[in-house]
Amino acid sequence: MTAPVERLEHLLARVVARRDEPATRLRIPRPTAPAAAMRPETEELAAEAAIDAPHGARPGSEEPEVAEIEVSEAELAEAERTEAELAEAELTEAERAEAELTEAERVEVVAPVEAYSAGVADQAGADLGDVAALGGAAEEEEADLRRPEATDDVEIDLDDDAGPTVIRDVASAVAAATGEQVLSAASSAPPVDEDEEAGSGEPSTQRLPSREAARAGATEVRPPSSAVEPQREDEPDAPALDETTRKRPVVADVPSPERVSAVTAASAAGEGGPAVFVPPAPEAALRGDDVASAPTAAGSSLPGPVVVAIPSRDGRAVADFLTELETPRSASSFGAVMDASLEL
Amino acid sequence: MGTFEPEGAVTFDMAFGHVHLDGAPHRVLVPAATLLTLVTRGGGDEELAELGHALGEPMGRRVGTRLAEGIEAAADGSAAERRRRAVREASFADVAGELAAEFALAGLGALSAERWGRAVVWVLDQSPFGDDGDPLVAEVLQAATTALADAPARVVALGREGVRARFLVVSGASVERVRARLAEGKHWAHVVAELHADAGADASGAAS
Repeated sequence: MTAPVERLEHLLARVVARRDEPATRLRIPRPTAPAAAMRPETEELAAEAAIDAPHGARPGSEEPEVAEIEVSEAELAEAERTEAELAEAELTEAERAEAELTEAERVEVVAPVEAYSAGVADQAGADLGDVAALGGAAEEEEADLRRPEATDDVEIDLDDDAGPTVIRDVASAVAAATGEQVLSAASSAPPVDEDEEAGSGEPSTQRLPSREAARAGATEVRPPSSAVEPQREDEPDAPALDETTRKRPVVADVPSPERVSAVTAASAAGEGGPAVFVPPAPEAALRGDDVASAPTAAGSSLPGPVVVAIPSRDGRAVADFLTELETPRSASSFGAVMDASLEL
Repeated sequence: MGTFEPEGAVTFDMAFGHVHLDGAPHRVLVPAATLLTLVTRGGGDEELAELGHALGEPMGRRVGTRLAEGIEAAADGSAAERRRRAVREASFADVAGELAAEFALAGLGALSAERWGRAVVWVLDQSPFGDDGDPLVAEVLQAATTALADAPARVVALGREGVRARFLVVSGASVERVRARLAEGKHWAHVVAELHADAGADASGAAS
């Protein structure tokens, strides 16, 4: 590789001049072009290669005229050498295009992470796909849930000790998975004292409104009888479910339409639970942004979008983790989290 | 609250031909594949652990130093104790974010974390080493986690899903159990779930 000395000197002078500046910004190579723009170029190269291929004629073109020309051995050797150089140049160009294409595809792979970061519950389909990868059968069950008949009344069996947070999370996950607006127990049932949350252990039934009922604005929620008390007037209303679900990325485990076990993300409000923290810097780097200008969460240079995932295909393990979700606050510091993990 | 600011974290000193990371000189940009080949050529786990420790342990210390900024001096006045306290009291999200920043600066990929019940799982996307480098990444994470937790921690590579690799943080007592179950072909999620069941059984056994 060569470059004009004047240019190098100019660059070096600029670097030296800026040496005393406090910080050097991180520069991340920007992907040269999206995949969609690359593929035609590759095809174009291939087409050109076909057109210029020796001994080849364009499809449909007339038969080339043949003329006998006397050439010396030296001229023939020169022509062959030129042809070889051209072929090598074309190969190099094709390799470069392929490398760029690979780079573009690499960025495409990261797209789901960006979706997490965006924190949009509309990505529930992708998140459900993650769960399906864990469980295999979950994918079919998700499809079942999306069928029209499966979106009618859905009963969720929960233990009485499932608190309002869990109930709301389950309903939120169902809403995200089905695309229906579902009123959760938490949106109509008030917060309850922890003492009263500990119920008899007998499962209660949460009846979620059917598609028609939800559209009509009807609410039919039967929270655990032992876990509900009248809402006090001085308590703020729970956030509207649609807002909650739209802001929370959701990963749901849906073993069956009859027994829906699902958990939503712990929110930034600190409800804790299993979480995925996606820092912006690596994503920004892959997008080609300056790291310093990566989007940040309020009050922090690193946001912590939170996604929850439950590793289970059977309801029992899910219930275990639901229990964990109810006691995250005391274990939210790094020290407490690590202590718990190292006890395993 | 996260304190990491990428501005100025890496300095390319063109005049001297040096790269500084967080003020520390003598960093070298090396092709990832070459580095991995160099380390794994001998097939020795010691070299892998040594490099992983050399990369990960300072990461944990730098995270502690950043988090300790603004924290009152420890009773004994030691910087180490102040770092330890700052990390323990910081939220899990903040520490995970800070460590992710360290990984990004080192070019090791996009780090995040998951909590599966009580288990902590480090998740690395787009590792420059590819799947062959997961053992090295596990060593880096183990050293960083140990430095952060100020306690012996073991990190086991759980598996891969495309460009996403997962690493479980466990105690030394569970390492072989986890590896054995993974070797049996069990899905990593089930291994994590069974780990919880084991802990419950151990606890009830101890109680009786």
